[in-house]
Amino acid sequence: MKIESDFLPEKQCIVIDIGTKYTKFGFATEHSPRCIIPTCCEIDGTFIPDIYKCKDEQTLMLALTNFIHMLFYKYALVAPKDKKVIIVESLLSPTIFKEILAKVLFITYEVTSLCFVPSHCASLFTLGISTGLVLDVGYKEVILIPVCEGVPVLRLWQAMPLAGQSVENQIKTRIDISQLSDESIDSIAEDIKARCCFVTTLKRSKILATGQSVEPKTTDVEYHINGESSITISGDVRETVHDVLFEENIDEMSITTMILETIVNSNVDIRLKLAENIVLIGGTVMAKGFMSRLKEELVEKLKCSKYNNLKITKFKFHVAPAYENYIAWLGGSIFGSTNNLNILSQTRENYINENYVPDWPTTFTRQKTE
Amino acid sequence: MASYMFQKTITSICTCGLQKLLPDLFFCRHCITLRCDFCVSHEIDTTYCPHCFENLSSTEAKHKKNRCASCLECPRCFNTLSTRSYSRTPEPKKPPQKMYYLLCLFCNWRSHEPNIPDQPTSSGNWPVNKNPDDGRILDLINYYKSVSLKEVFDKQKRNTKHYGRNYMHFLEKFGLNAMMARKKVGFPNFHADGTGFSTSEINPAEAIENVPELSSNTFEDIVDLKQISTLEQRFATPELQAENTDDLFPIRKHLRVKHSLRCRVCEHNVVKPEYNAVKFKIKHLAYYYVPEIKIIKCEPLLAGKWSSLVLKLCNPSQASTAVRFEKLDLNAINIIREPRQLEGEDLISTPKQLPEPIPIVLELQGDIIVPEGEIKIAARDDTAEYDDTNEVNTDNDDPKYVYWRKGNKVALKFEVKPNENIKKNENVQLGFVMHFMYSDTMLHVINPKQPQTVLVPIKIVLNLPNSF
Amino acid sequence: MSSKVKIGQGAMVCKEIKVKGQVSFGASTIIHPGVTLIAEAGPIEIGENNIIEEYVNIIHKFLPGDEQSEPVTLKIGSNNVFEVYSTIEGVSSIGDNNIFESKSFVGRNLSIGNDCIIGAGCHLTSTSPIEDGTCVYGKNCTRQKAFCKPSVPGGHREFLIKLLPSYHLLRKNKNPIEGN
Repeated sequence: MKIESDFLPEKQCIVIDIGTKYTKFGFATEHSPRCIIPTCCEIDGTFIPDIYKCKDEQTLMLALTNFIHMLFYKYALVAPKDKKVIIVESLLSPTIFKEILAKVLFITYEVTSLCFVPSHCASLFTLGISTGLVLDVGYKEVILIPVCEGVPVLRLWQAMPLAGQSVENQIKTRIDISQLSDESIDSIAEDIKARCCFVTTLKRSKILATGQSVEPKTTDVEYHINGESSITISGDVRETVHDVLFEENIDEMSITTMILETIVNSNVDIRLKLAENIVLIGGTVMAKGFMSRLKEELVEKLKCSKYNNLKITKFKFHVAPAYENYIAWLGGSIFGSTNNLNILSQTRENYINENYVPDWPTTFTRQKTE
Repeated sequence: MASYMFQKTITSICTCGLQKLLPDLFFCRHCITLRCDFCVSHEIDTTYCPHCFENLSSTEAKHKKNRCASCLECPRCFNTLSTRSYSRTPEPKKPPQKMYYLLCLFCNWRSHEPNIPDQPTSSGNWPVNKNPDDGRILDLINYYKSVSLKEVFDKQKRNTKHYGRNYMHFLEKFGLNAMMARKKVGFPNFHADGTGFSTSEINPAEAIENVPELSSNTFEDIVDLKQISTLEQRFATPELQAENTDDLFPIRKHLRVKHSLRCRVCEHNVVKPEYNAVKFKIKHLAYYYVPEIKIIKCEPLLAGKWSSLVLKLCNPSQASTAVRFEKLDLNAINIIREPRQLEGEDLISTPKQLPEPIPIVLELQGDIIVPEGEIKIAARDDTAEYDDTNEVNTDNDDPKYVYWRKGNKVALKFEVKPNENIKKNENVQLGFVMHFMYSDTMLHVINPKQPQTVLVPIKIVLNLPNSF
Repeated sequence: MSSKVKIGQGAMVCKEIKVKGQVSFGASTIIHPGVTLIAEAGPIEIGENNIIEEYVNIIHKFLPGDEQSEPVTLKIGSNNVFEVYSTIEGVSSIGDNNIFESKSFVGRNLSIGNDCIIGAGCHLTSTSPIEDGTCVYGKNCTRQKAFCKPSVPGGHREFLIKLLPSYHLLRKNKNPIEGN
């Protein structure tokens, strides 16, 4: 039997990236997640579609317990007891979520050590670079954090609720699917987004915004729902639903201006480096044409007086050796293959003694071996 | 038959605070208390393929990435694929050759489509798809590994005098196990002084300015949704995520596990399956110990009026038992339930921190009068069903409470009064505590003596329908 | 209502079927017992080499209120298989080489092309036509490409031809019987 990596790690380490919509799950040192599954679970027969939405601490704990149970016993097929766990999480993820997750893993499932890896930093591991402007376009929100020499510059973070969900909301309002029940609307909107829609070019988008038609006209798509009815998705809708991500709100903010604002606010010596090391992660950036549209928008915006003195002429984008929706996970997997995991994880004993989860993976939480 | 198992009319509150149905509960014979799915620790007993039922050892499963070696799944609808054969004559003179292909009987997917050539053997060495970026990721992993090892060695050099002569604790910390493993596999070792680490220099990724443009066909191409895979199909193979249904490859069947359950407090097994069989070595289900309660008669419930309710209790165990009832005290409901134990048992000590019990939030919508005194229930006797006489001693029963008696079953009369302010068509929630006599029939090796009996309290919640 | 049945060469039609209206069976078509064929909205023409299994309902009726409209012929092509309990109601046309799996339901004004498979239990009520070479399957009636022409195992037809006459009475041609 051929073992793919050069050797098996001493102890299996599990890497989990709990996204708002999809959870990526697998083992460290492996090259792709074992599964990408919706982040949802059941408590006593009631379906919880979004774990992050659980406001009540008790429900959140039950939801996470059930969800982690499913991950380990249905997908990993290992008992979590005495395993190492890496959680790849956004730096903006709520503290309560983190605390309850740690409690569930340490107390209920008795994992031996736990490490929270910031997703923006981990993503750079997949590229072998240490400085970059990481833009995470997920389901609920877009989060931008520049990382300089492996350290996230928290002063410059930007976040906006403009992501996959806003695109789906566009679809829901612009296509008549109201006759369907709520749960199926969500899944149908997602399906339409993934299978029919793309991000059009800036030029076409501008023309379409004025209500004129463009040549060549985008074809309409016949979409069948459940064998009961079929709807026509017009070409305009197909190419413009993603435009909501680039539209500026009242504060003149959009994904484009987020990037430019961050560059403007950063130190002069790092500006050029950030503009030439843009890393896109998250499932929504996988939409066809997203990257080229973003580049067009950025170049266009540069011409405006606000950003004119930036002295940036070009933007460069990184392409990771993975699909964008699991780049952060892959970063966690690479991190899990190194020795730093043992140094930076919080151990179970430490958690039980201190009853506290550190904000950052640090060496201080580990008992000194001397 | 199955539907009554899911009706949440009568639930019991488990030791951990969750409301569960009796068939979902376990009974720990050492703590003498109820346990549920949530408050036992699950262990992995055996790994098996859900299609061919082959048992795999845990290391074998690990090597195969939890996938069955022989069973394949349809990439389109995730049902099991079947192998089909046909004969063909490659050259006119040679005997016909049997060729095999894969077919999904549910959605008619065929292995011809992603251009998988037909195989000459039925087991088929169906090609496995490789992640095209494997090489680059492996480089990255090795690079970061060496960087972190170098860091560790540099640190070690600085601190080396503190450690004396014992280097054993470095094994784990500094990845020496990994180095030994490298040696075994035949890779060159790292240099001990840490200088030779720069083995894998890596080219940092180059950012591109000319990002891929949207192809000009995107607008005019007629979209055939039948050709575009769904997200579910893409995520089934995260490393490939094919957008065209023609590029979907069969997936190896994911394995499943049999769980064995262990009580978290006393660490005794509650359920343990038997290897290679659909049987259990240990199965302490509450269903086998706790008298089962069923509603057999319920007068229409009227707000503020007493109406009678007849519950049937059925003793499932081979020993006779007795029950006593008590009203549910909502104030004391959340008091931590200490584990009980039998005489002569070792003290139950819990060295580890246990998950906190879940606070019970319960609102009762009425009052209940429970039968007083102890009511005996006979043991289950499988032969009694064939016995016509079925004489039961009913002398000691108070006819005020006991409705009838038959074998191991007894029907008891309760009185219920819903609150004045109950709403129509809303269930009336009522609760009481049932203490039942548990006789310990375990064989005690150390001090064999008479079976002991313990009264076990179980909180029962009734959800009586109020629609008429 | 009287029924007019025309049976083609080599076709095998069991006696215990319910027919209303004018129905013609093409050559080598096999109709199992228990089949209901209602041709109120015009004649039903069933092509060659079809197999219609037990309890299949092919209902060709007008919508209530539309009874006075012009009768239309329902044409069913050749080499189709209608499996047990499948229901076809008011379909406009059916091509060749299709398989309707058990308990499938095809609703009104839907036309079905060639080489299609309607999966078991699929409930199709939409009116968008099913194109050639489509496979409909699953709870949500997912439409996907059928990768090859659906085929019936070769021995199936021969087996039925041998077996059916020995257990069932068959209808004879040129002797239209009153519908029951």
